[in-house]
Amino acid sequence: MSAEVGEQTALGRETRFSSALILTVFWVLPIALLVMSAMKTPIEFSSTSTLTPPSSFNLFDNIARAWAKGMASGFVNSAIYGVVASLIAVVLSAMAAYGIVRLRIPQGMFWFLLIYSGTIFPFQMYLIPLFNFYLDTGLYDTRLGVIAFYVAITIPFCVFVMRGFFLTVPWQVQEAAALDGANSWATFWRIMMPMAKAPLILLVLIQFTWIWNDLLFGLVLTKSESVRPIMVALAGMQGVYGASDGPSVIAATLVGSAPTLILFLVLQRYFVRGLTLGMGER
Amino acid sequence: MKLKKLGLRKLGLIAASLAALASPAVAQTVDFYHDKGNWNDAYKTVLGPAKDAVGIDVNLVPYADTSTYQAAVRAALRTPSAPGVFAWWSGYRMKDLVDAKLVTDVGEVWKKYTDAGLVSPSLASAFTFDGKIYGVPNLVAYWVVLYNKKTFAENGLEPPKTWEELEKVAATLKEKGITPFGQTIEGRWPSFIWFQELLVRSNPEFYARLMTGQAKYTDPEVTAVLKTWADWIGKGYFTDPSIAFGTSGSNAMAGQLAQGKLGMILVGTWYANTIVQSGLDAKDLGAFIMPNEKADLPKSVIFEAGPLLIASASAQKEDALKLADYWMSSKAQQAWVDAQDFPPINKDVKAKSPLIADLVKEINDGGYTSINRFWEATPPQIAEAAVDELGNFMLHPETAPQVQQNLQALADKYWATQK
Amino acid sequence: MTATIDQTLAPALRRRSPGRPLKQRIVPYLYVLPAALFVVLFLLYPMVLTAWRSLTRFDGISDPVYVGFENFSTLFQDPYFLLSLRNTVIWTVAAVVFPVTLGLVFALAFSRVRWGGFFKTVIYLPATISAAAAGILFSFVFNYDNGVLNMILRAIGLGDLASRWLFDVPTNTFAMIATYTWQQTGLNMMLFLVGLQGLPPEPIEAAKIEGCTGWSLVRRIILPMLMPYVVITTLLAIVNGFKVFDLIWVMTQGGPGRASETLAVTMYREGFILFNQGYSASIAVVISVVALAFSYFYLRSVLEQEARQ
Repeated sequence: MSAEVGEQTALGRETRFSSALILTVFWVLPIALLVMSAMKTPIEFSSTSTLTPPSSFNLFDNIARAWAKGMASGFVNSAIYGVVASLIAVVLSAMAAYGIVRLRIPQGMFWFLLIYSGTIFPFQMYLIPLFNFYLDTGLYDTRLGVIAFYVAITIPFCVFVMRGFFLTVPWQVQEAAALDGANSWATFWRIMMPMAKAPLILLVLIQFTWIWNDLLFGLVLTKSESVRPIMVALAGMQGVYGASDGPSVIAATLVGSAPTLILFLVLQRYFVRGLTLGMGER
Repeated sequence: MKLKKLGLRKLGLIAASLAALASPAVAQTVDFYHDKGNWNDAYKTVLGPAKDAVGIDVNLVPYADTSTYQAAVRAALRTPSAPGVFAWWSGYRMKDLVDAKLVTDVGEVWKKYTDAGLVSPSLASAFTFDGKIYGVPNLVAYWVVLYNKKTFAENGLEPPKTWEELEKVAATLKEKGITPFGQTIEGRWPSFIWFQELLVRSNPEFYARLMTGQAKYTDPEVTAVLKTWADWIGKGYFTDPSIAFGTSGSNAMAGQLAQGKLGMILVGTWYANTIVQSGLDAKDLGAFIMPNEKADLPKSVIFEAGPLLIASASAQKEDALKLADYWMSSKAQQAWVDAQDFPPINKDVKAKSPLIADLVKEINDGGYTSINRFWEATPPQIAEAAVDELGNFMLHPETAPQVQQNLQALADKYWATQK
Repeated sequence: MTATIDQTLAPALRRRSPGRPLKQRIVPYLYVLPAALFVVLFLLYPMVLTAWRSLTRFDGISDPVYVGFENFSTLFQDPYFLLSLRNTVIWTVAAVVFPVTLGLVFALAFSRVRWGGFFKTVIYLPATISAAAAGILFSFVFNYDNGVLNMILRAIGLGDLASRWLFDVPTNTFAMIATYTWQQTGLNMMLFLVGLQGLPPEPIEAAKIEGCTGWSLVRRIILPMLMPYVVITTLLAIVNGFKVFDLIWVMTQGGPGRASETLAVTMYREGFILFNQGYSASIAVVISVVALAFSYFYLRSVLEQEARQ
């Protein structure tokens, strides 16, 4: 059953549909051009305009060339970092938001602002202090160090969103659980978390995407190919000095973006339904 | 008696340890940091054999972003995790490292090769401070005009030997609807390219003084250069400054040259590869050194030399010196030149492409002086800010006087801190 | 069933009765501390170091020299600081207005249109690539000679509008804001969709039965219930607007001639290009203080609003 916000006439529906269609065509145009460029040969790329369709399908050649330059280990590393760090961060954040909003920790606003302040700082300024910190503590160039950082940097936003979500949960739910004899942990895991499935999954997606796309911190906190994430490997492929192969760089970028897109397509059914369902449905 | 026995045993231990030290040990690792991701394979090819040749296992650490690279290396230089060998920039860009005693004197390595007559001592000039040499050459390039031979032939043009000929070539190309020169501000830094060239072509001695703060950006020599430049921009001799140069993956400038829509590009010799990749056959690509404005000026060419430096605080310092020695050898240099098509620094090494071979021959035979690039010849605090001003000039040539004022203000601010 | 402060306060007050056993009082801390520790160790500690650095003159290789507040006074007298600040304000306002509003509009509109799921996916696509990649992509789009935008404009006869988008001031800032909007709208749309999904259907049905429909329904019933998510997206947009860097650096490097710099770009330039790390740190401090102040006042006003309902 689709909830209706207002009446829908047949004409109204068609107009809405056509305008949405036109909008999305323009919206996706830059990406479509990107895909087209990834299919061209290097010579075609430099000599034809971006709007010209490729004359032949070179996509796999370009990807193969990019892959040969060493994307495989980056892929694996980023997958590990994305999954592990986002899951840890999301769980720890949900716990923190629960403690602040539902368990009403004293000075809740202070704790919230403390964690939230992790987002207000421009990222680049973390680079050098963290670099030195990691060198001193031996976390430099280790997978553990990288994961620890990604967890830390994704926590603030997650706490922020989970706090917003927990504010919308009625107190009756908690009261009922307490009456049933459940302690805070049981309430958290068996009642709150399942209810929060939609924001939790969205957060995992968002943070996985952020971690996957990170270049700066992956670059500064690591040096070995076995530890470096994928965007670092990709960025190494382009530059003015020395021949850079436009289409294979673009192809590599597309392949590098594929996992975040696939993850989105897989997870989206948990949160794109929007207004069509109420709280009772899981 | 007991004493003698103890003594013998001690001697025995000492002898054994000396023997262990003398015998070939397991290969030592040297960390090699650089910021040119797409050169990583070339480095692997050149330095791989170092394992067998001198017992050094090179661990390459590529950084994809130049400013992040510089910040990370600078932060590491004072710690024991300092890189054994790292790629850097010459002149003023390495001066602060030298002043802070963070890099090692490699004069011994140079001496071996200059004594043997294999390497010209003048090549060390950009890495020399207070008579000591601190780097070995990594990137070597000359800044010349690359041109499309086909385009020239089709229009009955020859590479110009005088300034008047250069202007005529430009005018002819323009008439035929071909843009004569490429210039860009894409990436922010390229705006100094034409500035330095026009200065060197009109008054190289002034250029040298300007770089070290003994002349002003508001002096008439600079005004004259900006006027010529503005003139040419007004005549439509240049491409639009927003043209892509390769910083973000697109090589529109190279592509236009390859297709004959653009006649000439003033750039470092390393750009030749990009042009060939964009579709111009290597035999159709030519190079000439821009002629001086006045015939009585000495022959000179602007060059770019990037060094490999060795960190003094690094635990790998001794091995890094061995590696530097291997790097300068004919074998390694030949592999490097074959991979990158750079002008050879070692006389036993042959250039890879005819373009470079001819160019090097002309420079050596013609007695050209090499002049260091603006980017390294003047302090980075001035250079980095100057390119923004020059970029403004390229977009709005009529603002030349204001640009000159701003440039001089930058220079004044820096040189004042050096008093 | 709105989560008003009145309702949430009542049970809390009951819980805070004195005499609760120590064990029970510790419990909330057990939930909050792990996250807080990560943030303090990896994020706040470098921030404190940077704040200390802002009181020094430091080039990264020699020893830092203590100079008190000299960096700040230089900063506030620098004409480029005002320019940078102005651009930052433009960015922050635009970053709030466009992606958030569009995100909300799309979240509502695509819920009631055929192929809604497909459209939502398309709108979200740009959020899967990095900001730098989006910047590079749109650099191609905005190119004067063969960028898509100018080609289309010339093709439909509006060639006069074709300009050097990224090299004219202030056009370039707006071009970059358009790119930013393209990328961020999807994210906001998703957040709103999550919010909409969690809304209880009863009040909406009740309102519809009473004849409240369309825009009126949205304004009077749906939006108020969505408030926590509006707060989230707005606050996020404010903070991100202050911090925007990758996109600008890739597209214009803050140029031409520093005209499109924002505070974050100026900070990076001073720290990583000119190696004035002390000065750069002072800009970072200014950014953080302003962003924190904005966030605090916004949150407080929202809480007051909630209490008054």
